[in-house]
Amino acid sequence: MNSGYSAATNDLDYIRRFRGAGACRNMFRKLGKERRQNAVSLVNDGRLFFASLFILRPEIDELNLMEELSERNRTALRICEKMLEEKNLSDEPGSSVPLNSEELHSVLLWMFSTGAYDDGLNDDFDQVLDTSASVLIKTHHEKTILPVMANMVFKRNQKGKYIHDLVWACFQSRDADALRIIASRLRSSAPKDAELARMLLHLPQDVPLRSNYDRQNQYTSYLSWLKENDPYLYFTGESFQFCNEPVPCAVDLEAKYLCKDNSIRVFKPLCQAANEESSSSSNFSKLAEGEKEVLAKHSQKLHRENPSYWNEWMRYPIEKQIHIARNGGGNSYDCNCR
Amino acid sequence: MIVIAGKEMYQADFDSLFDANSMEMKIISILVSSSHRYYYDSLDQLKFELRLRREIIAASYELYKSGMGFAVFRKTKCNPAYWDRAQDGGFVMRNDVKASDAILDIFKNGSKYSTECATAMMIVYYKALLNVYPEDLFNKTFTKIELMNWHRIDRLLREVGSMAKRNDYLPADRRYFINPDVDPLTPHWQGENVIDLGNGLYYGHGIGIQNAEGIIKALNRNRIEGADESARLLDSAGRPDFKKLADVYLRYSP
Repeated sequence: MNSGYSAATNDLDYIRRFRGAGACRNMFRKLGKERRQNAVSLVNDGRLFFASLFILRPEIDELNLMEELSERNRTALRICEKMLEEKNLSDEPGSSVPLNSEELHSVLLWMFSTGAYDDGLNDDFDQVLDTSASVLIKTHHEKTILPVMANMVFKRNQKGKYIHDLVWACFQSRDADALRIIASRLRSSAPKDAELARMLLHLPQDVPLRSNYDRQNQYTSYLSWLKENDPYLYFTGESFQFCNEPVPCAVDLEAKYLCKDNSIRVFKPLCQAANEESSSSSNFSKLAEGEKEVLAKHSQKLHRENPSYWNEWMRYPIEKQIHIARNGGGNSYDCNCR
Repeated sequence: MIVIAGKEMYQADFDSLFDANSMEMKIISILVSSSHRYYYDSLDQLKFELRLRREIIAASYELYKSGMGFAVFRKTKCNPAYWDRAQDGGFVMRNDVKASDAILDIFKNGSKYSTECATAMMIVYYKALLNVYPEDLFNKTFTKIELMNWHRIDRLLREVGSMAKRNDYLPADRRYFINPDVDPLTPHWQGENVIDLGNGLYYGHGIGIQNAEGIIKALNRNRIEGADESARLLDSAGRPDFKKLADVYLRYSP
């Protein structure tokens, strides 16, 4: 990620960036007292980065500028207040700020995408970034922020900072792209990055990652596994709050066996299948996990390579299917994903 | 079914060891009536597990009453006389204090601490072990304690971070209520780690002591607008490796 600052940088951003938050706040306070309209124009500038608005909250209060702020800034400050309030379980549920409005979507996108450059500013700011990402992902299904989120996760991890909420939000996208983006860090020469990528993807920890070859190999193997299973993946909802080795996603073996895409990325037993499928499904569900894996893998491969023979094979009794799969099926990639 | 050193045991074999209404007897009753076979090397090994389970429950009640606050990881606090606060919100025991004193301080000065539910579970485990192990053994065993969630756990307690489906669920198991439709403004209510108190109640830090319905109701209050999926108790549990911990205890000679 570059610095995000260019020649056309807003003065507030410039001062904050190069002289510090204190200098920025002093300048804004002075300007607000002497030339109020100039201060308002600066803070309402479309080019402003969210971090500058965030640090100027006390001055905006002190100068009583709230009503003169742009709609974007007013909404951003209102949502910040909501995100930072210490809510107890016994408090009234629900949010007074409607999270699903299109206006809020664009404001959150501005907050997150310009705020990401200043991740680490302080705990409150980072919390607002994490929560913005959560709302963008969960409420607005805004997946374009995934690469930036992943970048923040790995940068924070390098510094030993808190990553769990951001990781959780990443996987809440239920998007295989989140897995691909994280997987790209398996190739990183920074050991902490590669180790974290491996932990997030729940890959075996005992495979050595010493050389470029090792790292590239694990990356390639994972992508190959992902390519094979992508249509049948579902996200488990497991997180670091739940356990020390969360499994972010798993393969719906029944969907893979029937070659039915799991587009909703949630594990739900297949229903409304055709009669023939329904009977295959019922027989399949009675098998042991190992047999399910062999059969699902073989079915998917056959469907891809020879659809007409797949149709014929699916009509065989399940015992015959297993026999054929065992003799013709390959080894599965040793991934710990369920 | 309980099997000790190859010998099948029955409920009556334990009548003289524990009160009929004790937590230990309650656990034994579940184990002996199970279709699963629970193997122990010795009676002492089983007795250690039963005692530690009882102490996990006792420590849960103690922590509940300690006044320790709830805070998200970014806003955790701890008593700097015993703990340093890590950048990710965890607590790292100071080098110049004893582990036993550091753990006890959380219970004595609860108001000086605030953290999330997973950290509270780790505190419960350490306090339970402190109630069972002699202080000297506890301090020799745990020379550097870090409290966060299921990361940076001492190797002796590593298994508490793993959740798995169990044949039977027992008092003092760590359980998890998941809240799939959590409000993204409050991601910390994505679920609640709890200790099964063995009487239909659970202790979860931030929620308190409640039955399953009470915990689900509390989590459901923090769901996204239009949510259609309720919070629920997962069919899994986390447990320490009681045999490993017993081994340390049974080999100790002061």
